[in-house]
Amino acid sequence: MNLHSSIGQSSVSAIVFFVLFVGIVLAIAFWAARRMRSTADFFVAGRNVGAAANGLALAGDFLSVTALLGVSGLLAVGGFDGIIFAMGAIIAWPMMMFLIAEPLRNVGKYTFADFLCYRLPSPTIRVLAVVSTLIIVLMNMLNQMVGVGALIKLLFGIPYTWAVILTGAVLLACVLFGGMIAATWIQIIKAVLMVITAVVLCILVLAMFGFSPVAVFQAAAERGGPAVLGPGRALPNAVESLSLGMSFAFGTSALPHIMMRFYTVPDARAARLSALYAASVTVFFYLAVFVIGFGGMALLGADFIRSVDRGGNMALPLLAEYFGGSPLLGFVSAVVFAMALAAVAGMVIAGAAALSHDLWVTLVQKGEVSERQQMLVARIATVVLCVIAVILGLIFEGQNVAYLTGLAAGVAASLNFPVLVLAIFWSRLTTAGAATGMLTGLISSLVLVYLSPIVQMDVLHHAESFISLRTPAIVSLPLAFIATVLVSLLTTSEQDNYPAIRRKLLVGTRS
Amino acid sequence: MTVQARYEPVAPDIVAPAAVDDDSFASSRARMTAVLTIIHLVIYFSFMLLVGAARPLLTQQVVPGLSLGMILAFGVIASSWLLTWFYVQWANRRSVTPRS
Repeated sequence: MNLHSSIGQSSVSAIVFFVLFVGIVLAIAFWAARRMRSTADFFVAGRNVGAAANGLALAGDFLSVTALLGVSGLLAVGGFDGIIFAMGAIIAWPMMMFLIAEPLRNVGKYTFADFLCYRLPSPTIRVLAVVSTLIIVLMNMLNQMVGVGALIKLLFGIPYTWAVILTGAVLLACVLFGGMIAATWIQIIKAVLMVITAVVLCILVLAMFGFSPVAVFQAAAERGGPAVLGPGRALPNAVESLSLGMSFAFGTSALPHIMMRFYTVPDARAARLSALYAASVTVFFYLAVFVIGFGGMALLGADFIRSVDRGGNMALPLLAEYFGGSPLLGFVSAVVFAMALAAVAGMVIAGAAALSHDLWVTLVQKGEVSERQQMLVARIATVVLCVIAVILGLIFEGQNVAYLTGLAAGVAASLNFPVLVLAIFWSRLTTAGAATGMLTGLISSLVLVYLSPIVQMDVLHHAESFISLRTPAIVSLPLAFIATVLVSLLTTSEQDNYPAIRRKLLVGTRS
Repeated sequence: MTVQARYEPVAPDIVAPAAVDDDSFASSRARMTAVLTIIHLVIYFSFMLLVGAARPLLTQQVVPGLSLGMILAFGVIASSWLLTWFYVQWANRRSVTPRS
């Protein structure tokens, strides 16, 4: 085993480089924020530049800590299964484009919650939509915490618990005091940084194997056994794999914080083009990650990677340290931190906005809530969300973040997708039907997750779990669909805007 | 300091009233998306079914280092991108040029 003896243990130089690079990223973000009046300047700079830039930002939203650490980690310790999880993001693009994106854009609504309330403006729906947004936001924040927590633990050599708390505190401070514009710019920078990181590490790995990706895979198979090139433990039977497939195909399209950025260009043609750019960036990125992941297995070995973090999340940073020592580890860690910051900022803002604007305004019911009050509620919501995310991060220590994303997608798929699709295409959807559907999807998926091996065995350390199904979607999604349809057929809505918006929704506008 | 209470994209949303002569494009677009969605789902779920039910088959290495499963996976990824590309260039060719 020819590993440098310092890999896996913290070192001062790595910390120094990390702090240095984080400082640079933040400085760039603030400088850029000062120079540009608005993000509109950036996006509409020119027709094609706008589409490409928007595509990059879109891809950046999608490619998060999960993609970089989780998928590469899953590949490094589990092999082929990592490819399945990478595909989840890739196959979601067509689904989003074909079914969801254009109708929503046609009526100028960018989130699931906004659109649902637009069609069925009832307080119940509003509350449920907010709850749905919050749950999905929290599940995604959890991923960031687990991933970055493991990283800080590796970097600083402190116990995981403190790492997660420290991460949460720093992220919270940055979001509270950095503001939205800086976060947006970090989002854009992060997309570039991620691709660069992936390309650099990919090339480094390839260089060890004569620039043949297949040689990398072969070496991984030699070290990990030939079984790693085929489906592994994560998907032991057809029910599990179909369930996971449903989570990815239907859950990703309903994620609230992604839809927001889908069409920030003003015309549909450029919007479609930017989606194509984003899909291309995503595919390119993941191909590099495949090489990196298998490279990690071949060069470092799955056992070693797992010894540093049980979920394998540290494969990529460890590989960076292997090639470039402390400086490269510091750089990669800074990139990961910036990514988590951008992601958390975006999610927290979505969640806090939902809480302060939607929920608070609805509950207060006077309609007029002072900006001061909204700001205060948003800030409190930010703190609360971060605290909950930290607690969740502590609970789910040692889980692979790509796997957690699959779980989040499963809940999103059950909670949002049936109602969203029916709201777009079905005239007979009623308020009661939508509400029932969302509750059914939510409760059934969460209950199933609770009863599954993940929670029962990994988190609660019971000897066995109530059910063996690891992903809830195959049960909860159809259940939610049926519930929505049945209840809709039996009830009527007090107010349904569908007749008025249907034409614009499906036919669209001049472009 | 003003707060954007809702996280809205800053670029203006140009929404003109729906034009009557868009109907033919709209209905052919609806048909195209339906067809493409079905093709996409069939490809993806056939693959996932194989993953769950045909593990030994997919683990077989066609070439040292490349299993059948991996080749199929890359194929699904390629088809996914191709469907997206096809739709974008089909829709953009057919849609009305925006007046901006």
